[in-house]
Parts: sequence; C-alpha cells; structure tokens
Amino acid sequence: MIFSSLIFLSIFLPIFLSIYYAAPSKYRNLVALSGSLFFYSWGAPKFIFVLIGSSMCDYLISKRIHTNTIGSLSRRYWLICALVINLSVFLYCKYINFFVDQVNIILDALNMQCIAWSRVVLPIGISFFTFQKMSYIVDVYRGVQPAGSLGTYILYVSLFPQLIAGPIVRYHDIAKQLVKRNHNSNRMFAGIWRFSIGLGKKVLIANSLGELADAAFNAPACSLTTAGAWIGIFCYTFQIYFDFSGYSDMAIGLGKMMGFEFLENFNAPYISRNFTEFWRRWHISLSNWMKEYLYIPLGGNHKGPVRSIANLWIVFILSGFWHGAAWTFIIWGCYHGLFLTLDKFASSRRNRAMPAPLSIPMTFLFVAMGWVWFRANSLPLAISYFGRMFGITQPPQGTVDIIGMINGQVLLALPAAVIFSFSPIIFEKIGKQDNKIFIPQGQALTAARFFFCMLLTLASLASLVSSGFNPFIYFQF
Amino acid sequence: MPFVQGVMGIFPVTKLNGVETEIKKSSFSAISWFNGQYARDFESYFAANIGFRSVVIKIINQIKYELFRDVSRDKGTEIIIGSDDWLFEKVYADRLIFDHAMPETQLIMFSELMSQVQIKLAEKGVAFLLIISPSKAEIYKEKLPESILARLPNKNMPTNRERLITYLKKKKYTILMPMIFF
Repeated sequence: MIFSSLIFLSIFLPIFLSIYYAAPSKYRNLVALSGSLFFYSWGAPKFIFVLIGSSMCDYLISKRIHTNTIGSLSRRYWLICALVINLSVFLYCKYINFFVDQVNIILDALNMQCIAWSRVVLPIGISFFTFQKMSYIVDVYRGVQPAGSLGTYILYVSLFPQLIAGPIVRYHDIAKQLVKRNHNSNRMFAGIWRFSIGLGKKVLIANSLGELADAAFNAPACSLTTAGAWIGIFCYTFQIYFDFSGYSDMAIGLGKMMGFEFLENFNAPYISRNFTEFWRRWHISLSNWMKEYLYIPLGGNHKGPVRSIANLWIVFILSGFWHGAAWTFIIWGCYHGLFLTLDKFASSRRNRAMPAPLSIPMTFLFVAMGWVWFRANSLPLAISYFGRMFGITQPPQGTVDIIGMINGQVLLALPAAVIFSFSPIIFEKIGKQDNKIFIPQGQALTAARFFFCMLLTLASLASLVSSGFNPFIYFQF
Repeated sequence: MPFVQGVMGIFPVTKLNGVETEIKKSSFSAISWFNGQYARDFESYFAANIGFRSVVIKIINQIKYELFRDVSRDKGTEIIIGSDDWLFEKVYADRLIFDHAMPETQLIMFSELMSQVQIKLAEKGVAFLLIISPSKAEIYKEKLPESILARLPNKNMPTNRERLITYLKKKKYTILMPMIFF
C-alpha cells in the first residue's frame, strides 16, 4: 500500500484516523501500532515477521545495554551484537544477490561452474527501518533511555508514515513524542496541508515527468537524439526530487495528523551553490544519520585533511551502495564524493566563492548529470547514455521520439517543477524587500490554503483514478 | 464519498465505452494473503470499481482534449489528433519522422528473411508476392498535426521503403506497392 494509492486515500487513512481519534489517549499508541503493522503486512505479508522478530531482538539487547555501566566492555559487547544482527539481516536481504552475481561473473570468466542460487526477495523499506533500528541501539548505548515497552519500540520502527521510504527518524528525535504528544486542530490541519502538497508533487508533477524519463532511459541509447537524452535526464532530475520530497511531505503530514513532528527531509536542494550545500538540503535525514553514526565515529574532520577526505569517501561510497546493490549506485556515490572533495579543496584555498547566478546552475547541471548513474539500469547503459548526451557515440537510428512525447501534462509539469524547485531564491529575495507583493493574512490565508488544498487533492485523486499504478522511486530501497 | 458510492451506488453513473477487462472481486485465503495476491487483486478491483470513476475519467479526458488536444490513450496505443479531427496512431506518425533512420543491418536482415521465405515457398510451388502497404499517416500526410508535419524529414532523403527496395530488387521479388495508386 502506498500513500498515493486509491485504497490508502479512500479506505485506510479515513478509517485509521477515525479509530485513532475516537480512541482514548492512552490507547492511541496501540491504534498507531496496529495500523502500522497492518499497513506493512498489506504490502509485505511475510516480512512482517522479520520486522517484528528483529525488533524484539533489538529491544531485549537494548535492555541489556542499558543495565550495563557506560563505558563497560559488556555494554560495548551488546552494542556490537545488536549492530551485527541488524547489519547481517540487512546485508543478506539486500546485497547477497549482487555478491553472488559478481562471484558468478568471475567463475564464468574462469570457465568454472557458477553458484546455483535462488534469489532473495528484498523486504520493503529494509534500508530505512534498519537504519532506524541501528539508531535506537546506538542512542541507548550513548545513554538515551530505552523504549518503555516492546510495543513502543516496535511503534518507533514500524510507524507507517515513515516506515517504507523515510524520513529516517533517529530515536532521540522522537523518543519523547512516543510517550506523549499534542493532538490539536492546528497540527491536524497543518498535516492535511502538508499531505496534500506532497500528493500533488508526486501525482501531478513527478508522475508526468516520469513517463518521459522512463521512455528515455528504457530506449536503446542508439535510438536517442542528444536533445532527447538531455530532456530525459532533466525530466528525471525533477521527477526524483518531486517524487521523493513529495513522499517525505506526505510522511511528515501524516505524522502531524498523528501528533508527531518529524524533521524536514528536503530544503530546496536545487538552489545549492555547491555539492556540500546540496547534501545539507537533499535527503537531510540520511545525511544526518550518516554524519552522526558513521562520519563522526570515523573521526570526522578532526584527524587531519587526509583522514577527513578518506572518511568522506567511505561515507559516500556506502551511501551510494545503500541506495542499491549495483555498480551504478557505487559510482554515483563516488561521483558525489569527488565533488565534495573538490569543495573541500576550494574552501581550503579560500578562493572567492563563485557568484550564485553561476554556481547554482552549474551545481544543478552536475547534480543532474550524476543522476544518469542513479537511474541507468546498468553500467553500459549509463555510459552509452552519456555518449548520447554529448553526441560522442554514433548518430541515432530508430524511432524513439522523446520530443514528440512532450504532451500537455509535461508542458504544465515541467515549468511547475522548475518554478517550485528554484522559487525559494525568489522568496528569499522578496523576504529581503518590503513585501511589495500581496500576501494574504489571517482568515484570508486560511481560506486560500483550504481551497488550494482541496483543489490539489481533488486533482491528484482524479489523476490517480484515471491512471495506473505508480510506485515511488525510493520504494525500492 | 467515492468509497461509499462504489459500495452502494447511490448516484446513477453511465459506464465507460471502450476496451476494459473486467476485474473480479478476489477471495480471501491464508495462502493468497501471505503470497501478496489478495492485496494486489483487492487493489486492482477497488481501483477499477471506485465510485464516480467513469465520471472522473470523462472529465479528465475532456480537459485534456479541450486544453491540449490530447486524447486518452492506453499505454500500448497512443492516438494523436490531426487536422479536421482526424485520428492517427502515433507510432505510424513517428515512423514518418524517422522515415530515413532504419539501420542498414535491419534492412539487410529483412530482405534476407524475405528471400528465405520466397525460396521455401517456391520449393512447394507457391508464388510469393510481397506487399508493402502504406500506413494511414503516409497516405493522408496532410491531415497530420502541424507538430508532426514540421518534423518530417527532407523529401530528398531516401525513405526506409526506398532503401529497402534497393535490397529487395537484388532478390528478384514480385513486389506490390499500393502507394502508387494514391
């Protein structure tokens, strides 16, 4: 079940919220837990046992960690035990197929018998909830009070707004809210507003641009024109942003509806002036997790410049690999690691910063090019796609007419995507002036937002009714 | 409200015309639940039978047509509207745009394949007549949308058919080209 499905919008969400608010406060966690477990088991009925079983394991170990003195060897032993269990399950489920494939490639090259292997199915959302579980264990190790009950802990792991595709919620950010949170109409309406914005981003913008991006990347590269290849990658650049940030908006909105406040996951990443800033604005929850639980424990930037760069590369190679078990994702991670390294050299030389009108489009262009590695299904396809983008390979032969696929929906979605991606610059400028444009206040603002919210939701629903299945991009992780 | 309408059918709604596969309601069992089939079937059934579906689809189609001259399309069959509201399958219009772009290897392979067919039939005493029929887009080019007409290749460039003919002629086929009658 995904947030932009008819069954979620028409059946699950209304029924869940009705029961949630009808229940007395002390039972709302139980309702949230039941709803979350049902939500997950609807999409992954077998893996619910993996989720519950591993969570029970974490909870029991966290109790052991907590009872041991801070700094003691046994405390550290239990931490390592829990991390090994979580990482083993994660690595097995997500990467064993990849490793077996690589071994078989080598064996085949050596004319040896390949390993016969039944492919392991990836549990939905494992990349996200594994990181959340590890966050809990480490936080308890560092002194945070463990969850009051097994139910509370499983609720933290399985909370349906963020279970499948984030944001990755660190335990210490939500611990108090699991015990007590405010339910009021302001938060509820803020949640509905946020959810409708996210739904519109995903259904009206991301899905429309996704059709063109899919056509470009599914076509043989030899049949793409240079213009078609660039249109394809720009469509994907906006698709992935609106898809993922739209999902995060929906998750944050749903959290608000249940009284939770999740941290923001995106902050206009395409107005970044360099890659360092990009990673402060893109998938913020992943950056925060990597920084707190990997980069800083490795020494961060406190062990000299060489070690700092090495730590950066470790983090980004692993980030790339976290996104998917394929060489293209590793190369994507290295691509970003390279630009972050260049940023460090640039800042260390105290060069005068490039002016924003130049640095923003340049950063955007290089980020967009990086998405080719992320989207391409294989290394050869990525390389041949780059070849078409720069007109290096043979002229196109075939009938893949990307330009001809630009229909009315794309003509609306693409300018909207550009405006909403870069509009924060405009709002920053307006904010520095004297508010010369009219901004409605009070009741007028509330009425305008309500009307816009209804319009957006109805338009999104109508689009969903008249179209087919539309999985989120990050759903596959 | 769509859920209520779907279940109770309070408001009368006219059915959609067109090709639609009827999706039957799924039956629940432990096996179908745990292999995920029940969830998939239920979602498909619900999406196909949600209340006001036909009304919404008609409204969306009308908006697309009025604003963008886009016609509702299935993923496999994309239709475009030309002048005087003539309808064409987009795939044939696209072939005109790239009417010079078929790889040589593909043309050679096709002519070799036809040659083999001709030989096999000749062994059985059957004459082989190859008919290369034009598409609607090719015959009624003037009715295509302006956006397609503007992108048609230069008339001086040999078309895929003309290039193919040069290979076929070497194999001594009897070829009928209805295009000559239009």
